Amino acid sequence: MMMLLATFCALAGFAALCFAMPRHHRQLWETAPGRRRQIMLRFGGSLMLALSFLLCGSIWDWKIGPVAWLGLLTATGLLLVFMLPSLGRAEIFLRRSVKNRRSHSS
Amino acid sequence: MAALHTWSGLLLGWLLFAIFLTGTMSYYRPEISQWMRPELHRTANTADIAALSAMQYLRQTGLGASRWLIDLPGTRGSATHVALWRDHGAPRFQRVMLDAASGQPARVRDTHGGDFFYYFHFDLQMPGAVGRIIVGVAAMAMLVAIISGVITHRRIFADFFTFRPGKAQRSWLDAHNATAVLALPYHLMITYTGLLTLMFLYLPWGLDRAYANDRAAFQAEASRGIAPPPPAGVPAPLIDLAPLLVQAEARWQGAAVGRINIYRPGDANARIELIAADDDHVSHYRGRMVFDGVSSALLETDDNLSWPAATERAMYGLHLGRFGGPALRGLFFASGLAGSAMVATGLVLWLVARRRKGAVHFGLHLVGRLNIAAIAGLLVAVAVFFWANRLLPLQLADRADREGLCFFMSWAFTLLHAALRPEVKAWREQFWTAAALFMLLPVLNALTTGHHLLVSLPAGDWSMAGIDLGLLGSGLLCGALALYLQRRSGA
Repeated sequence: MMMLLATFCALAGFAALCFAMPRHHRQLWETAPGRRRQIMLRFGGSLMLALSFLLCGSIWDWKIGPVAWLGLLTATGLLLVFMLPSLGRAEIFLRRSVKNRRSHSS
Repeated sequence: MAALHTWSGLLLGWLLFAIFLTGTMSYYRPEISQWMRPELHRTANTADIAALSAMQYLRQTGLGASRWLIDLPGTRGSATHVALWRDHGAPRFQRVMLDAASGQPARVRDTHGGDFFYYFHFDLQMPGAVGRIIVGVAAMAMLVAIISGVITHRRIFADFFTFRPGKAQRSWLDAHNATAVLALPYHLMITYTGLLTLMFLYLPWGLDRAYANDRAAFQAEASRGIAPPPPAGVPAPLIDLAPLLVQAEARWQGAAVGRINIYRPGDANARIELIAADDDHVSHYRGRMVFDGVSSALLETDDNLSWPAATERAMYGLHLGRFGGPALRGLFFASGLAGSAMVATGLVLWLVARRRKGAVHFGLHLVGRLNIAAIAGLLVAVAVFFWANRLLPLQLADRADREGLCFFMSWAFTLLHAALRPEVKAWREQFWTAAALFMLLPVLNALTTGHHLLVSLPAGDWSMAGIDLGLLGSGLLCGALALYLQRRSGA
């Protein structure tokens, strides 16, 4: 359970840091993030990563925890990187189908 | 710097892929060994039961030996390995695998199991130190490639999360960068600590100078084993092991005993050495207690290592990755796969980048063919090893080595195949072959043993089910790669 939480925190943290970057923000929102949003995403992302570090330390001990944390960052980072392109595609698909439905109903 | 990265990566890349992949598999060495010995009873045994039953076996069969060794199964196996040495009489050295519960020799097929990949990973199954030296050169090249790669990668943060599929060379570069950068702590750690595990082979000169070529003196000072006193020549009954196990557990706060050495059993100068199991600390340092084998007095403990020894043990422990339980093992395994993918994408990238500029010459042709056999061919050979384990007749002489022969023969065959077929077709055919071989392995397991997934999953037999599922997953991955190649070439 704690392990799932740590994984979620690491994934969410990386996702936030990722979408704080203009290139990746455009993958989902078509525009670069505003200054305010960028700072929020960076702050929130760092916070989540720090939280996952604390969780790893409490699941294992403080000797094994940091090793596990780095491993967790690797695994979640790779998951995010290789999911992003299909995420972008899913997003476009959803947006199109929403548009289509709107144009049908109007 | 870019040239350094390119050439150190390419020239040893084929070997590095094999080292990385078999090393990654070695995180599950006990489980693979279990899978390859389906005859073993799959019961959970406490270390105490296994130790006492092994001791009973040795008392019956090991009389007159100068040393007994008991390697306990631990939490991930179900066989006890015992060995004995004799100063006089034959055989001088004997190794037996015992069923952990009964303490009787296990009737198992002759196989190297997971040890095959474990040893291949650092000695390439070559005699003497040749393989280890070659692996050392490869590891050094890897370290050079990692560091020069970080220096030449200008957009390490800007491209941190970037993967753009379907864009030929750009996609290969992105995949190479992602698997390299995101697992960078792992790559650095595993390569550096890998070199350290064999540092006394690679750089022996300081050691030889400081200890005047006396390796035994070094071993003694680094507290790696005891120097038992010479035999007294007076027979004396060996004490019971059980009370010593209780003492050890109390001293090590619940950490189990992993290995037991008994020197001069039955002599007045008998010594019993207990060594802790290696799966609960980052450091591969294992607590040690030495008892007098007749009076049961505690003679020696070494709970405090000197800091150089402690550093070396920690590095070694990090490399083996036996601590931290199944979740951390999974993360190590995933990072190892990322490393294998990094090497493979690097090899492909070298070729794609040169072909895009329209270059055609023999060197490219050669690299193309070697890439196929080194990457897809190795996967075929690994699958064949698992098949050989189930299909070779049980009575075959040298059966364990024949399994290895099947591995190398099929690997050589994939190289021949890669050389003879058109390149794109060779990639596809080898990946399809690997996919079929891997995916049919759980079926073969069901046909040849009673431990298939429908039995092992409900029974919670995770070493068996996990390997079956892992083989199935490998098959799916190879199939996906074959499909991808098929679609891209439009055939």
